[in-house]
Amino acid sequence: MIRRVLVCASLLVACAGEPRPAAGLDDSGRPLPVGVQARRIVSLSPATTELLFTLGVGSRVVGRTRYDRDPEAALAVPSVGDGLQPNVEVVLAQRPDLVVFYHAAANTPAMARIERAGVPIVALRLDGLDDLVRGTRLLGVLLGVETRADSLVRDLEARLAALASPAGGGGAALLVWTDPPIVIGRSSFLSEIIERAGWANVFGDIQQPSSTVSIEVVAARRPDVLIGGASVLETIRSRAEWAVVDAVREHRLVALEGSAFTHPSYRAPEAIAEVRARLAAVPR
Amino acid sequence: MRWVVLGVLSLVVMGVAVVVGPAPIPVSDVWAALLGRGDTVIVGIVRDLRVTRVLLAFLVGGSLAVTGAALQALVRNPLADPYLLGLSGGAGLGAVAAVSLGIGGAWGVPAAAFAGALLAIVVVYRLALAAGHVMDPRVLLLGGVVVGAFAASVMGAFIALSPAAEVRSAMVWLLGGFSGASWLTLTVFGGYAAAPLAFLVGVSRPLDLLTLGEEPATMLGADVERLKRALYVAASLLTAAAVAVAGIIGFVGLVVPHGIRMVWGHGHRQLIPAAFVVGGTLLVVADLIARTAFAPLEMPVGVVTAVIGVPVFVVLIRRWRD
Amino acid sequence: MAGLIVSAQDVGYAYPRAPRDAVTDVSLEVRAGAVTILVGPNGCGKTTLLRLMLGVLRPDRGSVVLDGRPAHEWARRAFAQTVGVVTQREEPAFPMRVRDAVMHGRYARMGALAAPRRQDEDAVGQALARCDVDHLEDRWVDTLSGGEWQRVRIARALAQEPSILVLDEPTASLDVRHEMDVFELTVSLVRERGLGAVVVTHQVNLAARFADVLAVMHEGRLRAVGTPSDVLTSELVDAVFAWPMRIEHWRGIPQLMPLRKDEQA
Repeated sequence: MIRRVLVCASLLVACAGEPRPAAGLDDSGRPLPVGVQARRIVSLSPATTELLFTLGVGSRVVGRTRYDRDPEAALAVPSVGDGLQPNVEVVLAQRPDLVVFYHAAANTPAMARIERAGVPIVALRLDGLDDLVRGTRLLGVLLGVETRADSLVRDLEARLAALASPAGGGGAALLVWTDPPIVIGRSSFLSEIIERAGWANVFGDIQQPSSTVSIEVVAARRPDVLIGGASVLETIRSRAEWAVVDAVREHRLVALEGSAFTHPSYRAPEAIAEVRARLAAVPR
Repeated sequence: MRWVVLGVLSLVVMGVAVVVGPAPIPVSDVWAALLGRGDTVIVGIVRDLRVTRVLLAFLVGGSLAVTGAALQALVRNPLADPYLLGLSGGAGLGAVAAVSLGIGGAWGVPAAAFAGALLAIVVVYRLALAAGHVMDPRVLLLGGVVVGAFAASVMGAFIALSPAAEVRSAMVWLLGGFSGASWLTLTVFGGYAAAPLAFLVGVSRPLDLLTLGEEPATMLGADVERLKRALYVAASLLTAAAVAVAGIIGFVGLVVPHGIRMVWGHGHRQLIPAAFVVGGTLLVVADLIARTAFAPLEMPVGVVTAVIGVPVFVVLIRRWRD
Repeated sequence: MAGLIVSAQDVGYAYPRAPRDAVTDVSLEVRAGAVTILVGPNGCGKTTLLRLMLGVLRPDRGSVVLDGRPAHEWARRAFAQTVGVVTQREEPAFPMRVRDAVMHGRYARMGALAAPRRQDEDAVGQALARCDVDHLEDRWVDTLSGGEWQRVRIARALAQEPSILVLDEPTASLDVRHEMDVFELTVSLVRERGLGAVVVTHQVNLAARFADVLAVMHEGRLRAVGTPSDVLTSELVDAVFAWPMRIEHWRGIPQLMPLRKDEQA
C-alpha cells in the first residue's frame, strides 16, 4: 500500500500534465492491439478487473491481482500476486492472450517482458471517473463489446448528472493512516468522490494521491468531518493527542469502508450518494 | 558560563519550535494558548501537539547523543553511534516484529526494541573481538553496518509479508519522526530512559578511565567487566526507547559528541550532560525543519539528521585515517 | 604497612583450553621498602604471574594474598587505593592534558560526580612535581615523548597514594637515558616513601643493578629468588637464557654479557 502510494507520488511529476493519448492508443501511447480476439485476459488492477466484469467479459479473465476483489465473481479467478511490478512468470503461466496493465513507470520493465513473450498488452491508468469512461470505450472496442460499453457510459453520465447538485457541503479530511498521519490529496479517487458529493477535501492543495502531514496541520485546517477507515478512526478515538482536532473531539467522524471508494467503478454514483447522505447526517 | 549559554540557547530553540509550526499561529496567541486561553484548537495544537513534540524531540535527541558518547568510550572510537553500531536497526527490528505479531502496546514495543538492540550490540561487539583480543575498530564499524543492514532487510520482509495495516505501522520505524508525540509517549519514554540516563551521568569518571584502555582502567579502580555489561544495557535501553517512540534517527549520536569534544574536551563529566542538552536542541531544530520546510507536507526527521550527519562522518573518517 | 604486602603461595594457573600451565608452583613475597624485579625470557610466565598478583586472574591452585585478602576478591576501587600500576600498554582513545591524565589516578579516592577536592589537586600537584613533569601539566599527552609519557604515568600511579608500585615493562621502548631515568625514579620513590615495588622487565643487567630482590622465571616456574649476586649464577644463566653469557661484576653486582658465536669457545 505504502509502496504503491510512494510509486504513485514519484510518478506524479511525470504524469501530471501529460496529455491523454489520442484515439487508438492506450495510456502508455502504445497502439491498441486491435484484431486480437482476446479469450484469456490477465488484468492487473482492481479498476480494470471490475470493469471487465461489468463489460460482461468476466468469463474471459484468467488472472487478477490479489487486491482485485470486485465483483465477487472475480474471486474465482486465480490471483497472480501484485499489479505493480507483477511477477511476469506467474502472469505468463496463465497463458494469456492479453494482459491489461496499470500504467505506471514501475511497470515498464514487466510490460516489455510480456511483450517480448509475444503477448499483446494494454496499459491503462484508471484513477478517476473520466479515466473509467475512457477505459470503458477503449476496452469495449478492443474486446468487441462496444454496444455494452456505450450504454454503460451513457447510463453513468446520466446518473452522475442526476447527482450533480452542489449540496453546499463543508470540508472533509480524508485520513488513511495515523502513524504517521497520512491524508489523501487531490489526485486520489476518494477525493473525487467527496467533491462530487458536494464537499471539499481540505487537503485538496496536496497534488499527490496521499501525503504525510502532522496532526497540527489536520487540526489547523479545521475539517468539518474526518473520514477514514474503521480501524483508523478507532485509533484516533483512542489517542489523546487527536482530540486537538475539532472534528475528533466533537465526534464528527465518518467511517468509509469498501472498494467503491478506492477505485473508479460503475458503483461510483451509489458511492457518491452514500457519502453525501452520510456527510449530511453529521451534525455541524 | 558555558552551561548558562547552553541552557539559554536550548530554551530559546525550544521556544521557537513551539511558536513556529506548519499551522501559522501568532506569537501572542501561542502565549495565551500556553496559559490555556483562546481558541480550543489553538490551545490543543500548542499544548498537546507542539509542546509534547518539542519535549519528545529534545529527550530523544539528548538520549541518542548521550548514548553515542557512552558507546564511543566503550569501543574507544569517536566513530561509534547507536545507528552506525547497529543498535538502532536491532531496536527497530524488535519494534516492527512486536507490532507485526500483535504484541506490545505503548510499553511493550520499547521492551521488544530493547531486546533487539541488546542482541545487536552483543553481536557487533563479539564480531569486533573475533579477530583477536584487541578490538579492531574497522571490524566494529563493519559489523555494525552489517547488523544494521540485516535488521533493515528483515524489517523489509515484515513489511512485504504483513497485511497492509501492520505494514504502515512499520514504516514509521524505518523513516523516523515525532508524529506520534503525546503525553503518553513522553511518559513511556521517560519511564524507559530515566534510569539509564542517570546511570550514564553517574559513570562519567569510569567512562573517562575506559577510554585509556581496559587494563589501565581496571588498574585505576574501574570494574571494567561490570561497567561494560551495564553500558550494553544502558545504551540498548536508551536506543530502544528512542526508536520505539520516534523510529530510527541516525547520526545525532555521532555529530553531537564530536562537536562537544572539539569545543569542550573529552571529560565525560562535561561531555555527557552537554551531549544531552546539545543533542536535544539539535533534534528539536531538525524536527522543526522536518515539519515546516515543506508544510503542510512533513518529511522524515531522519532525512534532516542524515543531511547534517553524513558530512561530519566523512570528515571524521578522514581525520581518523591520519 | 611494614613488611609483607603481597604473598603468592604455590600458585598455579592455566589459561582456558591451554595444554600447559602458564604458571606452576610459584611462591613469591613482595615486601615494603624493597624493589622486587621479575625477569625472564619471553613467554616465561612473567605477565601471567603479574596478572595473578594484580587480582585480574584467579589462581587455579595456591593463593595470592594482598594485605590479608585474596587479590582477586578485592574490589577494583579498593585495590587501586593500595596498588598503583603502570601497565605495559596504554593507548588513550581521546586526547587529554597531562594534569587531567594524572587526575585519573585519584578516581579510586573521589566521589562519583563531585569535582576534585583540594586534597586531590594537592596529590596531583605533588605527584607531578615528584616525577619532574609539573612543567608539562598543560601539554596534550599525545605530544609527549616516550620517556615523558612514562613519567606522567608513574606520577598518576603516585597520585593513587598506593602502598605498592607495579611497573610492567616500563622501559620497553625507551632510550638509555630515559630507561635509567625511570629506574632511578622508581627506586628513589621506594627509598623515600617505603613503598613496595614490583617491576617486570627484560633488562637483566638493569634489574641486577636496581633490584633488592631479583626473581627469575623460566617456563612458568620461578627458578631463583634473592639478591642479584645470589641469583645470577652461571648455572642459572645457562639454563634460563638459552644463550652463552659471560658474567662480569661491576662493584660486586653481576652483569651478563651475551657472547658472539666466535667468542663462545
